[in-house]
Amino acid sequence: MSAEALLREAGKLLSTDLAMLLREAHDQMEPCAAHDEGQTCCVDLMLGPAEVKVYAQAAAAVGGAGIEGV
Amino acid sequence: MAWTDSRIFTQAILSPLTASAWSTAEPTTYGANGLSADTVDVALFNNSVTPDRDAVVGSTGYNTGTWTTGNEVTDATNWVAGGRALASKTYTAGTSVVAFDAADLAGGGTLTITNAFGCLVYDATITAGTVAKQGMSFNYFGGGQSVTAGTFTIIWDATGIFKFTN
Repeated sequence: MSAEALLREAGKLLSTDLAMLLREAHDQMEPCAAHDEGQTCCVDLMLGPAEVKVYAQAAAAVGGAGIEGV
Repeated sequence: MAWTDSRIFTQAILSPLTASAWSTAEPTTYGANGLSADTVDVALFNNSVTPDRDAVVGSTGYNTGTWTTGNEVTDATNWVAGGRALASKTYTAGTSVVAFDAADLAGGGTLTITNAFGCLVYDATITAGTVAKQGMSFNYFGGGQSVTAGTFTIIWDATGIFKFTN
């Protein structure tokens, strides 16, 4: 298993509280050397993106002779 | 069957959405101004649910049918059980379409969400009658969505949360 994969697996084992503390600590550590060099740091690899946007599909009802394909 | 798409509940179309079209009684406690006045909440769910647009009305409410809290995805603080309320709701007509929409919905702050596959959009103001907290629609996210100690935002489709076209 690669180092990156190991870090991702390690991140899955963290409790929510610990993950939040880790993220907060990282954000206070300015500058992050890896980020300074445009790289993904260990914390990013463990926790994934800090911001997730989910795109929800619209629920549609099609009318006409009657409401179909609701 | 797990999530495959987004749908409006047939029972929501029957009542309350088109309640006055055929003398269909509105749900108990459905506000005089309908969705505009009522609190419409959004709860996240995992892939153990079986979304069914044709479910009987008693199985379309929050914490009924497949939409039980056991299948709900929550964060202890910033996306708690029951979900979060929509803001800036609109119900507007366009060319051959009437759509219900609202502002994109973000968690209350830093949170951890694991494998949210979709959400139930329901009227939390309906507290009695055949079913409380009746579901309006269920909206698929296209797969499991997770975040660890980050922010989580639902971006509604550009055409609305749910819509009727003719």
